[in-house]
Amino acid sequence: MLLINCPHCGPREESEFSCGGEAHIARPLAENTLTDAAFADYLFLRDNPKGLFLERWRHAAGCRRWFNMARDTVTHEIIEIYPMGSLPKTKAGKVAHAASWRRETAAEAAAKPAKAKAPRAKKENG
Amino acid sequence: MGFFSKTPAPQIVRLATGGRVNRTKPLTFTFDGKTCQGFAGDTLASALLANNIHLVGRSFKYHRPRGIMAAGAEEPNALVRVGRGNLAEPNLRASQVELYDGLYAESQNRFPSLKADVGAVNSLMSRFFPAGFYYKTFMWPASMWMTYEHVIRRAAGLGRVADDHDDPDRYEKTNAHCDILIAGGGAAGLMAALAAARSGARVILADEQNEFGGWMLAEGDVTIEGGSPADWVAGIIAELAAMPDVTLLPRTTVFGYMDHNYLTLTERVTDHLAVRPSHLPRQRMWKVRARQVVLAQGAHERPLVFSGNDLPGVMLSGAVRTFINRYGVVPGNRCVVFTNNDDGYRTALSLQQGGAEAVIVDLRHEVRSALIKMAKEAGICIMTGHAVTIASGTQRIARVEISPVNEDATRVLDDPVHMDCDLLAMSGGLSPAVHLHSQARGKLAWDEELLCFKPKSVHEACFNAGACNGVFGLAKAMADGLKAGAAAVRACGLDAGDHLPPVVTAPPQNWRPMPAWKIPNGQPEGEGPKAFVDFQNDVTASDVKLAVREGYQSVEHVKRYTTLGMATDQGKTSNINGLAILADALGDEIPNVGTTTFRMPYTPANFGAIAGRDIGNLFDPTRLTRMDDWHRAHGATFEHVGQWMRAWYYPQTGESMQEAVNREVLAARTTAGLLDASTLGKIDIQGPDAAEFLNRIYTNGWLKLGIGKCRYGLMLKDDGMVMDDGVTTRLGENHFHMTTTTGGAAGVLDWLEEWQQTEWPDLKVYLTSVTEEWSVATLSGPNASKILKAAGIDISLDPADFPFMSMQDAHIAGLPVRIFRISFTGELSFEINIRARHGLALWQLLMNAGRDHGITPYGTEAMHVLRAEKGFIIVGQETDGSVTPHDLGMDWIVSKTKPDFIGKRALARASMSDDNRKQLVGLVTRDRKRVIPEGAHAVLEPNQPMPMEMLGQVTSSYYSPNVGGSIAMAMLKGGRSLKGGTVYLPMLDGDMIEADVVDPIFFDPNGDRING
Amino acid sequence: MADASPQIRLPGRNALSGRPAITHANQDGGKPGLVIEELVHLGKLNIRGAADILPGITAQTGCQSLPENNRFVTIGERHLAWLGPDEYLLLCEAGREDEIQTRLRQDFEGIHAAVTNVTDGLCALGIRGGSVRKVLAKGCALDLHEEVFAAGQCAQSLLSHAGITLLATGETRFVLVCRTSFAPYVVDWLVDAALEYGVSYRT
Repeated sequence: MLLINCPHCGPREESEFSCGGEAHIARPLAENTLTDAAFADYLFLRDNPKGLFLERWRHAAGCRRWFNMARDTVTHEIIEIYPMGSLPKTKAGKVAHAASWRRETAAEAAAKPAKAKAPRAKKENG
Repeated sequence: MGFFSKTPAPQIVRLATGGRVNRTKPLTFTFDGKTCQGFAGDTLASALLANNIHLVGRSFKYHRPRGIMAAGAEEPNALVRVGRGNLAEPNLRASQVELYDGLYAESQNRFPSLKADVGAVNSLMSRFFPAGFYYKTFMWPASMWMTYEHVIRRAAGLGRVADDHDDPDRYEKTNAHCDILIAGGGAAGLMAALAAARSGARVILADEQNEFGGWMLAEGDVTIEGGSPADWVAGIIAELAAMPDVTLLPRTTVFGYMDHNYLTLTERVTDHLAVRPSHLPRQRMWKVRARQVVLAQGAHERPLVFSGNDLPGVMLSGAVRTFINRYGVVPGNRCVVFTNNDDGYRTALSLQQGGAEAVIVDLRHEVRSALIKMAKEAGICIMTGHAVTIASGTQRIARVEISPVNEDATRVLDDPVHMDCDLLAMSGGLSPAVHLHSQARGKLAWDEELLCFKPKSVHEACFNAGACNGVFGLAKAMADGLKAGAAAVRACGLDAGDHLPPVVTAPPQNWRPMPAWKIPNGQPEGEGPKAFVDFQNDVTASDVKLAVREGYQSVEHVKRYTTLGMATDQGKTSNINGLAILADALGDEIPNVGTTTFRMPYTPANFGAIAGRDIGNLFDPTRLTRMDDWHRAHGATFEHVGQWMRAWYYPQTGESMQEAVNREVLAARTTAGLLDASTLGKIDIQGPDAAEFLNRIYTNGWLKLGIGKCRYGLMLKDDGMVMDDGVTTRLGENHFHMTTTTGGAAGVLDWLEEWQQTEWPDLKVYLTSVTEEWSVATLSGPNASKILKAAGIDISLDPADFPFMSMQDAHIAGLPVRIFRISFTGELSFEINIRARHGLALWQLLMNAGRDHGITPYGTEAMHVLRAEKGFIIVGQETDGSVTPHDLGMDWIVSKTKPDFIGKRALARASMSDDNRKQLVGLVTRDRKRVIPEGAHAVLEPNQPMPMEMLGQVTSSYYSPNVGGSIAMAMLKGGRSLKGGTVYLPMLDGDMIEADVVDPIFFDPNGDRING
Repeated sequence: MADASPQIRLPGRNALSGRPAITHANQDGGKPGLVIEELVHLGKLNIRGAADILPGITAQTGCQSLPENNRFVTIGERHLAWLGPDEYLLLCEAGREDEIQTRLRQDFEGIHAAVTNVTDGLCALGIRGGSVRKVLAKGCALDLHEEVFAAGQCAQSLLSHAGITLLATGETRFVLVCRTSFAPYVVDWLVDAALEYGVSYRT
């Protein structure tokens, strides 16, 4: 049973949290054409490493806020907790982030607005 | 000594003075029908021995007679069943059962009685029960394993559980936090506790025994600060007890050590009481989060592995000393002390002081120790360079053979001498109790001198101290405890101060045992009486060697093959002996063979304590709506929807369920029905980006929804599959009120929060659950407007003023309400929301106002029928996480123009437009009275051989009184192309239901009834 | 059952209406270790917003500053409790919640903030007594030591299977807030857990 240091509420029991799985999966924008196979990288494929894993957690029974965690899946040591939308700051966390196969995928590249369409993509809502 | 004797037998081997028992408080107890007497302060083991009862059980596999071997948690043999009826608990170690007046205990694994056990034939057959016997014999043919296992479990097994499944005892759990948790209250633990407590730290000190002090209470030959150890302990405990931040937990076993210093403890609160107060739990499980942990659990003495070492009357040397010095019981008169270290000498001296005769058989040839001198001066006969090669007796040890052995005790050098005896005390050295350390993934190192594994490094924030740290001897253990306590204090950031250990006198003892793992008996390997390694699992030295001969090399494999060190015992006395014999057989060194992993629990933990009060009505909350009292008073039948209890239908006198539901369904379409819809999820959404947020969450467009207007929405997961639906209403420019399914309420809020916080943090929107803020009564049917008017509504209900899919604030009888003109029945319908405190009043108002207009309360079953008549889906019934809007025929709700929404890209995958996906269709049976069972599978061709080719399944199926026949919805492969055709639904009994495939809308297909 | 008359007015039914009082004596003869009372219709507003909501908060509640993480501030009979970043729970006098909500919404005009009335959706219990912390510890994993979870401290957590918001109003006093439909379970649980100390649930 982990003791998790919620960035807002402080250390709390694992039973108050829910784990949201792998972190740093960029969502491809629908405007970017992507093959079904490349899209599947985003939709279905998840890492399950032995060792350091960057994952998302939510303080479900507390402040309900999401955050990122770098956790060793072997020792259960929590290396780092860092905010949503940011990258790990520890060396080990940075290495784990950079090492992910996901960094090179078309799905991740497609998470940014397409350059040519960027100006008009914003307002065209139905 | 007949059964059921009413007169307690005298305690024939109890000393007149000494020990921790209270001789002025005699207690009566029953063992296997015999009434006996002991004293307050006894354990069941010490009381049995006081009555000269040594035979207390039969062994697991061979049903061999077994006695009391140890005085504590490491007892492998003396497992008893305590209590009667459904209060009985099996497999308790007699050495850990505190005696109380009226205690009732039975031996285990015997039939018909302990002394004449028919299962003992297993022992005679033991050549046929070698290691891995079950695996070898019963695994073929595989189909028979279930039969074999059943028989084996009954024949073998440990004790019998309580007679009844209901455990009447009360158990509790509690959470606790501390700076320093100390596991074990012996010499080292007490010193650690003292250092911790004096620093001001929050301390929990747990010890499994009824008194703190551990081995100190068992020694008659030591003094602390010039007095008895017991007096010193009493002083320390008094000091600790006076500190508000110190929690003393006697009778409490630390049984589990998990991640991040989370430990679980079982406190036996009333197990030791003859009368257990009903307001107290029998046991309490503590769940402790400690900043630092000090492990001070002591050590377990090892048996010596010689032929016949499992006879009753063969005991561990230290246990003998404990029985004499702590309990005033001398468990034998003519005693052989068999040792490979100095410890046996202290036991021999204790025996002699207790009035028994003792002979020391020492495996060592050359012995230099002050203790030997003391023994010699006391006139004790010492045989060095000798071994007990064979012990014999029937139900208790009666004689031993003693032979000279070579220097490393691997060979018998000469013929044995025979010696009669009634007790054998054996000492094979100490094994630190590293169980918790290992559970917490601490590493071990082999100590070549002490011949034991001791902690090498820790993984958690913890310190080992005393004997469990491989530091033996009172003075050293105390100093080590103080050191560990101070280190823990400093690790907490507190001032450890400067404390000195007390002045101790103790016999000078050399703690190094001689390595002698399997004592030779002068016969070829495997011959002669059995020499046990693991007493609880009946594993012999030969079994370990056999496993090696059969090719097992890994210690983990040998453990499972032979069962060595498994089960409740977790190898407390057997682990090192087993490893050493394994290493020898493999021709390797012990540290290379390694050790198995100690699992929790350290000693068995009661399931009752783990469950605590999570039983009965406290097992799971039951949620009731504010109108529940009315439903109950009017005879509603309820169904569980998640944690909610919802009114299912309201049977009138003599009505069947079908009749009641028919009546409710008809009323909603002919007069009016009233449904308690309070459980629907409701989410308050505010913020300048609220509309944009909804636009991304739902499949349809939300930016142009007018204020006061409602819209139905479908939510998908990002894989394009339907996850929830509901109506959302724009209350203001930046303010929406979302409804969700009852079961989906919490999940949808979490889902919205996840997207807002993790994907679109730039969107300014706040989400708050208001599910329970509002009670909701849904009034549906042609008379709905009339009833609202009769109830005193203060707004116009004319469709021109209050159109379908809009919302208005109003008052009914002066009570403020918010009314949504939306419909899940297809009828004119009003969802009336009111502050929850007035929910019941609203319901009563409407029922009264509707009395003359045929108002009929309807439950969830009628709601299901009504919506199915209209072909409305229910998420979770028609859908199962693999259904797209297209599959449901709901393309109309999926925007083609929005640049993005959750699931958009996934819907465009090639496989999503496969015509052979399961699609929603309606089914009408040829036999219009026949209702298809939900879940039935459909086939196209009824006469095909099995296994038939399945088209899909029926998701909803009812009798519709409005249609006048059976209706069903189904998800069928290529369903829409099957319309106009026929499918067949094979039933379990061989029957076949024939149904036509139709549009999934059975009533009022043009929606003419929506305005009443 | 009541008539359909226009006479129905406040107060309406509270979360635990109709629930009988329960007492288990303290076996040691003293006062019950736990006393439970529903704080009937205590006003409750969920407030969302960043630091720029402070002027409105100050104007309507008298709070001079927003509570820090895990703390609440008390002004007269009102408590403003921190629930999370940008999220607060205002507990106010029964019947005042609508008025305060309206005014706060006016004050928050033009800034990103939200006020939601959750008075009926949540139930507040006043719990007190010499054993209150020990009782709570049986189902709540927070560190409830009186110097750690001191007066002024609040937290959202779990009490057995119910989500709760706990405000320490004194060494032996708490306000416990839970969803209304969980209130019967919470009271049942508390009464059961306090058996060994004696307990009184008062209506």
